[in-house]
Parts: sequence; structure tokens; C-alpha cells
Amino acid sequence: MILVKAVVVLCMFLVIPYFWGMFLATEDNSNIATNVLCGYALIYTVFQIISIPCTFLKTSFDTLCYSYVAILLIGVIVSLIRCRRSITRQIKKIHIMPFKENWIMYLVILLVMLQTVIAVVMTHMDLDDSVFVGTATTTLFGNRMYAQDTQIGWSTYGHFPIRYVLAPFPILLAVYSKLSQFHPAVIAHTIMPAFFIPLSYVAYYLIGKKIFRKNKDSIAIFLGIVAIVQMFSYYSVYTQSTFILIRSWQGKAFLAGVLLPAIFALCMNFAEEKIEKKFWLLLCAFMIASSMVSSMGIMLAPMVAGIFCLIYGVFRKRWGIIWRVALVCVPNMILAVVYVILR
Amino acid sequence: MFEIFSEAYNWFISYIGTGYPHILFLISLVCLFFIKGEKKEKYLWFCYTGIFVILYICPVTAKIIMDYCTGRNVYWRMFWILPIPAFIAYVGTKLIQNKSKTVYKAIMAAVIVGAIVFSGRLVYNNEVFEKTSNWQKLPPSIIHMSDAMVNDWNDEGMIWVVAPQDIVGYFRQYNAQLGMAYNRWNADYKESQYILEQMLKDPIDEETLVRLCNENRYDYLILPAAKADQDALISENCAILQEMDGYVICRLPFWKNH
Repeated sequence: MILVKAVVVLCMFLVIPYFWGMFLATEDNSNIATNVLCGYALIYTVFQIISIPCTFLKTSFDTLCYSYVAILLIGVIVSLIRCRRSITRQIKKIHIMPFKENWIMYLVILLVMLQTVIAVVMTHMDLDDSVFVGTATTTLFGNRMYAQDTQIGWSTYGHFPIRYVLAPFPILLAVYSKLSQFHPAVIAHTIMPAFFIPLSYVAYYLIGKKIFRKNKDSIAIFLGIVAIVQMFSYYSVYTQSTFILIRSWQGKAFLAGVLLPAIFALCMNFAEEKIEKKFWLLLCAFMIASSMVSSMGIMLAPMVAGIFCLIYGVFRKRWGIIWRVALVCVPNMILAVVYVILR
Repeated sequence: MFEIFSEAYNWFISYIGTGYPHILFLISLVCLFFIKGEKKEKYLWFCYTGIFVILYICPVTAKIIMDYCTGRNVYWRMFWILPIPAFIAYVGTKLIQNKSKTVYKAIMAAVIVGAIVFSGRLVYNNEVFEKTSNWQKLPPSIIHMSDAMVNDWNDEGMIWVVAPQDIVGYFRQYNAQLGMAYNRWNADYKESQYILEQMLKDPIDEETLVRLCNENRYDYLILPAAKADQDALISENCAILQEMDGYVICRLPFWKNH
């Protein structure tokens, strides 16, 4: 039984995101790790798109869960058919020792593994989980979304907590839990850190790759320093590194530690003369994914894109970038308006 | 305007906490200024940092962001859009790769790691992490007490529980069949507020507490063993279910009478 559960977890956290990531594979994300990261953005976007209507229509949680899984599986099949050659090529490239003489990269991997193992094996208790994990257990128990106050179990009498409804990451936790049959607290506190902490480094790898291009030694040193900075970031409880290393299962930590650095890396493409069309779709997916994981993502993600837009669009008078960034941020703006109206 | 500025400044002070990340960041900016070449990257980092600082400090933008984007009490999350680890790592890498001599690289790497260690604080300390006793990573006492109540209840439907406020946030993470009187911050309703006031009293007035719990149809009452007078509870028609992990669980007279 535990083996079946482990396979389901691997599929949900690695295989499905990988296949979905293939849809928007550009030159920048032409390896397995970055495909997985981009896949997360896409599948979280899909979840955001279907979960908000489901919540407002008061459908059962089962309806949401099975529709989401159906869409994911259809996506995987389409990706397998459409991108089979690229997938085969990538799988053939897999090596046990992929970095050859780049020993610093092995040190980085050791550091990341150490951080991941500590997060998985040790316990950090956080009372914010009364909302995050509490929402997942409440959803599973009542088979309804946001119908009960997650902290006390009383009925909300139809008044949606709009901030949480627009950022349904805890409902996704319930989906993970339902499919894998692990308790939501096990998924959140033990399984999610195992995937999300390495994913954070994939986002930083994208920044490193954008800066140092093909200089693999520099990328390795860059990631090594990032790893050390993250480990020594507990000067206050507010830092992005503290969040991703100690409570990576919370949507805001995923936003701060994974999505915002990834958006930063993507926006570095604004400096290029020619930008692929796929890139804008990918950026849009990251924007929507940011809003799905945390209500704060609705505004923080467009802010990053907005600053880049000022630097490369307004200052350099490249109007094409300005209107495209505006378009990419439209979903977040709609959510912001909905939030302001309904709060 | 000054109020907004001082609020932004206070959040900055809270963000840097006990460390010196701002000094490390400033040193990195100065180093970046003197590093040869890489105009593209210099342009990006200086502009990005500059725009961020203006957005963060300028009272007009700060007020808009506080009121309409992040909220005042979490304005510190603005720092999340500034990729501090990436920036420090970028400058650090540039400094290490500046010369080809291995000795230089090793010394520079040591200096950079030293600066990072000195300016920050290790995440892995006793304040943050503790040993794991279960894979849910919840306090074992919560799991034991929840299981005891659910087994005793042995039925479907919500089980309504009054528990000490410091542990109340954990129960529903483990089992959503358990409903609580109030959350970890406050009580939403007047009736729950009265119960919470009684729970916070020391010593507890068992008679009033049990009466309030009964009036509001609660099934179980959990009290710290040190504060619970078991005889007084029994005399109020409560049945002691179990004493475990420093808490006493009692079945209230109203039990299962929903």
C-alpha cells in the first residue's frame, strides 16, 4: 500500500508537472528540472481556473478533485503524443553523474539534499497551519469548500472568506491528500518540503543560467552561495529563505521561495531583443500560479514584472514589452478587482 | 506622510531583525559598482534595486501598496520581490571568478562565506526545529486526545470541544470532525467569548465553565491537568474520560444531545 501511495506522490509532484512543463518548453527550460518547475506553474494555473468557479458554484470537493485529475491526465497524454521526441531526447540525456568535472555542483546538490532532509525529518510547528492544513482536513471531512470555518468548524453560512477562496492552495493540499491517501498534515509537513525546497533551487538555477549563460562553474558557485545565504537567513522570521526552508508547505512560502525568483528569472528575458511567444504564456502561467498559492501573489508577482517593465520597457522605450506585460498581468488584476469588490 | 514612512522603516527594521543583511547587500552593491564589465547585469541590478527602494520608501507608493496590495501588517512581504540571495550570490560569484588563481578563489570564497555567516543566523536551531514524533508533525498529545474523543464518540457528525487556547489550533489539523469553541486568536461569538474568559481564569471556576459549555452544547472539555479539579468536575456531572499528556479530558453532561 505504501508503495502505491509513494508512486501516486511521485506522479503528482514530479511526473505530471514534467509532462505539463513540456507544453511550454523553450530554450531556457529545456531540461527536466526546469520543465518540472514550469509544469508546476501550468498545473497550478489550471487548478486556479477550475477551483474558483467550483467554489462559487458550491460544487462538492469531489467534483473539483476528479475534474482536475481528469484535465491533468488528458494533458499528460497530449504531452506524451505531442512532445514524445523531446521527452525521449531528455530521458536519454539522464546520467547518474551529470555534471562531469563540475565538483562544486555536487557540493551544491549535497547542501540542497541536507536542507531537504532536515525539513523532512525534523519538525517545525507553525500555528498558521490551523488555517492551511485545517482547510484541507475540513474540505476532506465535509466534501465542500469554504462552507465551514476551518479553525473552529462552525458553518460560514455561505460567506466565503474571499482572501482564501482566491488563493486555494490548501484545497490543492486536500486534492493531494485525497489522491495519495496520506493525511493532509503528512503531505504538508513531510512530503511537500521534499519537493518544494529543491524546486526553489531550480528557480535560482534559472536566474544563474540567465546571468552566466553556459559558464557551468559560475552557475554552480552561484547556487552554492544561494544555498549558504538561504541557510543563514534566520536573522528574522520574515525572510523568503526562512519561509521556504522551514514552512515550504504554505502557499506564501512557495510564492516567496519558488515562484517570485522564477518570475524574476523569466523577466530577465525582457533584456533580449527577440522574445519567443511561448515565453509570454509561460510568464502568464507563473502569474496565475502566484495568485493560486497566496493572495499576496496577486499583487507581488505583477510588481516584479512591473519593475522589469520599467527597466526594459519604459526606460528603453520598447512599447511591445509594456503592453505584453500588461496583458500578462490581466488575470491577476481581475482577481484583485474581485477581491476588492467582495471583501 | 511621515507616518507611512516610519511604518515602512519599522518593517525594514523588523525584516533585518538580528542580522546585517542590509550591510551585506550594500557591500555587494558597492562591489558590483567596481566589478569590471557586465554592463547589462549592472544596469539590471542597480535599476531593480533603485526602483524597489523608491517603491518601498516613497510615502505615496508605500501607502498605495499598504492599502491596496499587501496590507499594512504584512508590508514586510515587499522584501520578497527583492531577490536578496540571488543578488549576493551573483556578486559573490563575480568576485570569486574575477581572477584565475586557485588560491585567490579559495580565499575569496572563504571571505564571502564568512560574511554571509556573520551577517545572518543559521536556520537550523532549537527555536525552529525539534525532533519528530509523528509524520503528521503535530504535537503527540493532540493526536492522543483527538483519537480518545473520536473513539469515545464512535459516531458520525461533529464533536464539539472546549480546549485551552494555546493548543486549540492543532485539533482540526488532525481531525476536522472536532469543532472548537474559539480559535487561537479570539472567539467570534459572544457565547464563546464567555467560555474563553472562564478558560483563561486561574483557578478555573468549574461550575460556571461547565454551565456555559452545557448551554452552548459542547461535548468535551479539555483542561490542563495542573488546573483541573477533577472532583469539582465530577460533582458538576462531568465524566472524566482520560488523563493523558498533561491534560484531563472530560465528557460534558450535554454529550451527544445535539
